[in-house]
Amino acid sequence: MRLANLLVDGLSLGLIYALISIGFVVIFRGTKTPNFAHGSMLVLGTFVVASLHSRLGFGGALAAGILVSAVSGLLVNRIAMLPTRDAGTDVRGIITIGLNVILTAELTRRLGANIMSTGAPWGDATLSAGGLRLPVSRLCALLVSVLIIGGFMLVNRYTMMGLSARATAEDPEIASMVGARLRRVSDSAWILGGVFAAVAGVFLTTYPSAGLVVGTSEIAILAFPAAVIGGLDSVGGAVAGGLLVGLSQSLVSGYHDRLDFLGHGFDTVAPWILMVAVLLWRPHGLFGKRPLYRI
Amino acid sequence: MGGLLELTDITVRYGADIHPVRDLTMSVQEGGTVALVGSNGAGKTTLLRALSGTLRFHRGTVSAGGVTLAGDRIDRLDPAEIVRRGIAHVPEGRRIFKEMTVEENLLVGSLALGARKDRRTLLDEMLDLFPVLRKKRRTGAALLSGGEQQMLAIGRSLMSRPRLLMLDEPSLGLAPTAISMVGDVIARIAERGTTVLLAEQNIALARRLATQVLVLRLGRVEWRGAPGEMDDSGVVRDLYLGGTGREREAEAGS
Ligand SMILES: Nc1ncnc2c1ncn2[C@@H]1O[C@H](COP(=O)(O)OP(=O)(O)OP(=O)(O)O)[C@@H](O)[C@H]1O
Ligand SMILES: [Mg+2]
Repeated sequence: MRLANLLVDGLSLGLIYALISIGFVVIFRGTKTPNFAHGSMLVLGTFVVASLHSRLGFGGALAAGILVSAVSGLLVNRIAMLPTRDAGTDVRGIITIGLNVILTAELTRRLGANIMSTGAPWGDATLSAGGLRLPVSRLCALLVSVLIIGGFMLVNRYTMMGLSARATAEDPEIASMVGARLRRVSDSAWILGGVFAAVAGVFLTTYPSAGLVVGTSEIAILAFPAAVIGGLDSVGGAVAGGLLVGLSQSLVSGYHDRLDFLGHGFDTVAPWILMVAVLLWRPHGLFGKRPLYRI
Repeated sequence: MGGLLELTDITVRYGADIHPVRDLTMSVQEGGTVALVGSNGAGKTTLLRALSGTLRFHRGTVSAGGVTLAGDRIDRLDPAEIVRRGIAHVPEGRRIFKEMTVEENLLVGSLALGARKDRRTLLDEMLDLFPVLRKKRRTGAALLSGGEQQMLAIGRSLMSRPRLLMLDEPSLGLAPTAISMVGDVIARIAERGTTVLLAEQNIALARRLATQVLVLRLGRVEWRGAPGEMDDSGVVRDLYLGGTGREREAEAGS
């Protein structure tokens, strides 16, 4: 039963990571930029939800958080990414590291040592059936993630919008030659990344987590190993990577009594070790089509 | 004067001081097929990039001169806008989307048409024009042969319903039979009224299809005339130093 519980816990957590990680991958595919500010963008959106829910109610605050997150993504693209589009992936990656430091500093100033609640209506309610226990928060996360991820994958595969994004990811020059508007494609990639991060942030900071803290961005950044494990440019890979990271964390912390020799807090390190192991085995991740260094 | 496409004193620059095309003036009449021939580095690809707006992907710019399509300036537009105005570019080396299926490659070619209901009809027309592609419509494009990939690249461009179709060395790396099939397809496209600008090193193919031939050398037009006048002018021999041109002609077997 312990194992079953850990698996359910790991999968539902993994889907939240998958959501963050898809945003990361969409941005990477759309603009060839590893967004190291993804975690702080997530905290920003969640911070807006946490600050506004008592005034606007949870629904209104969530909408505001998603909006702010989307706009922040759009601004990053317009201000920092489009002007450097002819520079390399490395240059833009470094810019996002800078953005992350700035954004984190500001959010730390505002959050301090507080633990903020997002006011999600499901609170700490937990469902249990035959020994299986699942917090309602995680159940919601599961449903919402599956809906969003599934919807996204359908759009990506079957619509002209998805075709245009895939073409741009594969060959921007030819994509623009056949009519893809590269600025629009990259704008929507950053907006989507922001939206997915805000939604994931709300789930990441509700029960069983205590709430939004400065450290939340470090948890969110686990979407990075998730994306890398999946192959960075593969949406399906991001989902697989997210699930693997969630499972590895949940299993390692669930069996910590037997894994004590690895040291305390090994669950936060496990996803990174998994990432390194996967990269050593397959340098372009599980589902990546191109070696990372060529992108 | 009055051509569908007019280039006036075009100069292209890569980086600081490479000028692969200089003060080039030419025009393409509606309904005609203009062949650009010239040896390696003559500037054919560069010129087509200038017309489709894709120079910036190669750190190039049109540094002087202007281009008009049906009277409207297009040299400052970006590629997505230019294809909406009616110029489609089949790039050197085909560059099909290898991570997509054949059908998706064709559909993506219709992006310039915006939200239209007749996309599927157009797709069907294209599969009629290229029966080999119909059989493989759900196949990954990476699995096609070189000739099939060239057909796909041409089909993808036609999906935008262009007024002007530009092709960059469609014969490159193909066997003689595949070259003559590509030639047939281009001839049919031209017959149906699409204006064609063809950059080709394969003189025989260029001569077979063209209504007018331009010989480029070091970024300038060195000779222009009807395909039938090429032999007498000696320009072909000059360009291809002895036998090469003849061999290519023999290869093309039209
Ligand atoms: N991105 C670039 N940067 C700098 N110089 C370039 C670039 N692309 C091409 N050139 C140079 O511009 C000149 C013209 O090249 P271009 O590719 O247009 O010739 P081409 O006629 O298409 O030749 P080929 O028949 O070999 O394809 C060449 O001297 C080439 O080296
Ligand atoms: Mg060329």
